[in-house]
Amino acid sequence: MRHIGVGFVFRVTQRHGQIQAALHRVIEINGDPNGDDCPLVVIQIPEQPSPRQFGKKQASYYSRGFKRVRLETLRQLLEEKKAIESSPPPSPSWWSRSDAELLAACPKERWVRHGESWIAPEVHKREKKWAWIEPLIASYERKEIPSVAELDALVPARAVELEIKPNQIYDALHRYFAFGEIKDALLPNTPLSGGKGKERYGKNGVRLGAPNTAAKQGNSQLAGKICDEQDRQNMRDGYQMFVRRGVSRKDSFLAFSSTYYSDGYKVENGYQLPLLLLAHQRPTEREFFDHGPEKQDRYAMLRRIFGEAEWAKDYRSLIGTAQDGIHSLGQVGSIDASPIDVNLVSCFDCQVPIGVPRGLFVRDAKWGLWCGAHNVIGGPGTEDALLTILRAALSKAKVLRRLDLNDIHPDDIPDLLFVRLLSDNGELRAIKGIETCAEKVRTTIEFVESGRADRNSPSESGHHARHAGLDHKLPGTTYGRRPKRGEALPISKALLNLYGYERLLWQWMHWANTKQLVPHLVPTEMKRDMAGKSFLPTRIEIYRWADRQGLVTRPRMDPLYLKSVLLPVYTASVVRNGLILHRPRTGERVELLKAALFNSDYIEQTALYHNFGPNDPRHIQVRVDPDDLSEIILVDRRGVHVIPNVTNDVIVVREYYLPDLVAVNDANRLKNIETKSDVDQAGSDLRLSRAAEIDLAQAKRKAADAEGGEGQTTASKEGVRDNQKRERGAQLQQAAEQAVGSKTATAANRVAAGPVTTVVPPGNVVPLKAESRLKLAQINRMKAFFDKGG
Amino acid sequence: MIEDEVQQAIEALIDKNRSRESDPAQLDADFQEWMASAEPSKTPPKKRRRTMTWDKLRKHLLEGFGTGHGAAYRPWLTLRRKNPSKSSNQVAAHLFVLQRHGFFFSRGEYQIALLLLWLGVDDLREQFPLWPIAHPHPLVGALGAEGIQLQYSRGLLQIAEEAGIEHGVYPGTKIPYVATIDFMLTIRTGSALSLVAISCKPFSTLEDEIKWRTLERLELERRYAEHNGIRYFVFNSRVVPILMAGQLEWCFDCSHIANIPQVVPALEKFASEFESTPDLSISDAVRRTSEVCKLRLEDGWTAFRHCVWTQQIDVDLSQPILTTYPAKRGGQDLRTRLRQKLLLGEPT
Repeated sequence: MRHIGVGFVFRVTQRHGQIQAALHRVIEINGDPNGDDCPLVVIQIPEQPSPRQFGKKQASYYSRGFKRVRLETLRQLLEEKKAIESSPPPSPSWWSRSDAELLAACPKERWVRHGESWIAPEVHKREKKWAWIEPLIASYERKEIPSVAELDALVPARAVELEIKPNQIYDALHRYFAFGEIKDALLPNTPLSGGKGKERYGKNGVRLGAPNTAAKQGNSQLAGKICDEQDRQNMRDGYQMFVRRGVSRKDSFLAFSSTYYSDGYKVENGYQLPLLLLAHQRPTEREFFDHGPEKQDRYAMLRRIFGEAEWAKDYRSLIGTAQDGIHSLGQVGSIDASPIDVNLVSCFDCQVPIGVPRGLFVRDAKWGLWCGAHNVIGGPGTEDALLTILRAALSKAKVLRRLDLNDIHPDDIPDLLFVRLLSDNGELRAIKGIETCAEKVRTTIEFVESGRADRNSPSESGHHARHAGLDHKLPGTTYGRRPKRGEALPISKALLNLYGYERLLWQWMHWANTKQLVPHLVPTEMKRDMAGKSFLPTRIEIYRWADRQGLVTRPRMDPLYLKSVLLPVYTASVVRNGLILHRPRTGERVELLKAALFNSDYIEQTALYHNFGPNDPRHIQVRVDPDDLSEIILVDRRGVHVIPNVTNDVIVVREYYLPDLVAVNDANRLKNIETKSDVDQAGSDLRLSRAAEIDLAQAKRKAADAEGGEGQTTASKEGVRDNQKRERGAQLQQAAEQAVGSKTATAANRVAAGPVTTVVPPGNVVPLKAESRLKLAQINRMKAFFDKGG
Repeated sequence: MIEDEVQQAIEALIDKNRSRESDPAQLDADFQEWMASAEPSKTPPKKRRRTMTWDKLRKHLLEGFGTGHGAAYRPWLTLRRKNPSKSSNQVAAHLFVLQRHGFFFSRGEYQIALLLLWLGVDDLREQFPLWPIAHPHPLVGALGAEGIQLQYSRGLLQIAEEAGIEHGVYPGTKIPYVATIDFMLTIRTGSALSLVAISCKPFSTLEDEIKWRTLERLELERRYAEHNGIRYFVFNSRVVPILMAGQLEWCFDCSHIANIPQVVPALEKFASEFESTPDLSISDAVRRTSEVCKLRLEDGWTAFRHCVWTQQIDVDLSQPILTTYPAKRGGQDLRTRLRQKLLLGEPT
């Protein structure tokens, strides 16, 4: 038979009379415990209710008072398994702590004064409750009452005495006995008792707290702002942002006010200064420092302050990266454009700055292998993006040769046409870009969410690395920001041209691929496979290993086909000796870029020049790599044809970009304007000299005709020969006369050579000797002979 | 004398201006007069309409959007410059198996499309329109559906009315919206053709909070599918594991290799030779098999990826493929089970 005594704990599974289906404790035996007719006093032990569900009432946590039950009944319940012996519930951990420990765990502002010392608030509650029930317990211990169950009868009188409600005393009394007559059972069930605190706000037009002086004197307008939930939120956000060590309270408050409580700005001394709202329309400094430090969700605060996009970019926790799910190299690449952060000068004049071009780059998304780049003067468009994809897909041998980088092996910058390209919603997001990639080149484009550059992180990190490693170390760099005060404008320091910059860029990309050590990117599979073999942990080594292991994805595409679909389209004029490109984006106006001429056997064989109607413009569409004018692509119904540049100027073929051709045209036009005066003057001089000479000759002729007609020319062949003979003789005679210093001329000479003005030699002229004169005459004669073409 | 005249003229001019400046009533009157004289523009500036119009809808239909089968299909919704998403990545992909490009409005949809194509669907039509008016059955026109008697489909407007659900219009108009379902699959079982409609949604459990309108849309899709005898499933957008999606994509560009003539005849031999060396690592086996089949190594890898896609070589794509290790078998079984469960709705 099971022994049932004081302290016996049992759980009733089915309600029996007054005994609820719950945990109970025997607290008193009023009789012989060995006899069957022994009354027991039991009390229900309160158990922690299940967590309250939203919208439902909190479950009762009350010990339901003393109950009487016969020992025989209890035994029967135990036999019938309607009650089972049980262990008492575990008491909360803070019941076993000392008062000092509870005090230490309690924040200081919650301490309660107790006589000379301080106690924790829960201890204070326990002592209060104990004071309520202590006389009742004492009377029970002194056996002044026959049974503990009789204590309930004393409670109303005690409640009247204490001027509190009886149920408060019932609760304390029953808890004391239910938990085994321990005083700590009067401690609260949870360490933080009480409901959730509720923020108070001013309402009905009345601020919280004491009114200020103006309000007291009846000026309610100056009573101050009644802060609502938004104001409190602003104060908490502002406190996080502006209250810093070393910043005075006043400055912090003003910074907060000018951010959250300003109304536009004024311009004073050239500065934009915020206009604060009136003092009574914004929170006070005291409110700011009162509500600012209140606890809040920092995560939500950051999200609110920075906006959804910025927060998502810099602060949210990440559950994955852009590299997830990439199995092989060449499977996923990323393409993006960014300014190159360096001011450049023109190719043809190193004193002409052309600003900061934009660069488009393609790199592998997982290992960051650089594959292609293209720089654009001006804003990049869809065609530039396609061109960059082409750059990445083709061998770099030609590019490197054009840039005179002969020591870089083209295989160090692999040619990869990616299966999928990550892109922002920029250059490629156009029908042409989408259809060219997805349909013609069979490359999938994945456009990342707008405002979420972090989803194309390989590009963004690439921009950062390139700026830090190259761009910001070059003269003319902008450092990616506006110049600081006192700093010289970066454009004034521009030094490199695009050709020079691209040389440096490709060298840097080569370094990033082949020299930069990236041990963190080396996959473990490669480490195991290469165990015992020496290798440098560089991107190109990873690429070469992956290539050997079949982990490089290379869609099969003919390079010429790729060029024919990915190169931008330009218009060219067909002239007799080949094709001349038009300046792009000039509308209806045609401006020929004559510095480059393209021709090939195909153009000649197809007689392209003659394939147009008499009134049709001789214009055709060609594909041109604006960075490489060594050739253009002509696509017609017969296929794809490469038309080389046949310009004699080698530098144009090797170094010129299409913008350079345009710039040459512009420069020529400018030069024409600048030299217009001189050119016109020279033309005018030439024309008038010619007219004057003709007039003089006509006058001579007229004079000779008037003298008698002897000098009339003969129209016959023999006559002309005679005249030529006579002319040579006359010239010889004239030369001899000049040589000997003859001051007069014969009449015949006068007729042939016209009137000779008498020239008086200046005083400083030394006369020549006779032999020298003869030599001079011979020279003159020879010169005249050659001038005639003899 | 002249000086006096000039001085008087200047003074008169100053007085005139001063009086105008200092007389607000006059200024106000002038302003009112000017306002009255200014005629309002008779023709307001023409604004570009961004809303749907009947003309746009007609043009879209005539261009063939939302119609066709196989390579000729054009999805109803496409990616354009003006419709970027703020909530998910969008994908314009080339679907090698179908020989056309497709548009997916989330990465999850794209990955599901990869999986479905791998499972061997006959046709996959993404962004498939559920026309608001009565129209031919979605299977009409499919290759092999010539002899099948197909009923005319009821329009979604009527279905919505019967269900007591608002159909919806294009914003700012009264033009009924052309709803789309994410995938309409054509499945061939023996000689029989059947359709499966799939809607991809980002919720994964029944406890997820879902907008009421989303539920209404799903119900309309379900009723449309039911009316047309189409099996209907709702997939979680992340149903395809990232690893598997990556490996499917790795093989995807080799799924159609008709343009590599030197590889096609060797495929059967390649697969059997590869399968005969199960203990070799994948890279060694490919190297050896390529030599046996007299293929270049590059072509050998192409053949390998094609055979993995078609499961001529049994490789489990749900397990990591490490080419320095032997291939893990079980891909064929996985494909059969997934096909039964995801497309046929049969328990595995």
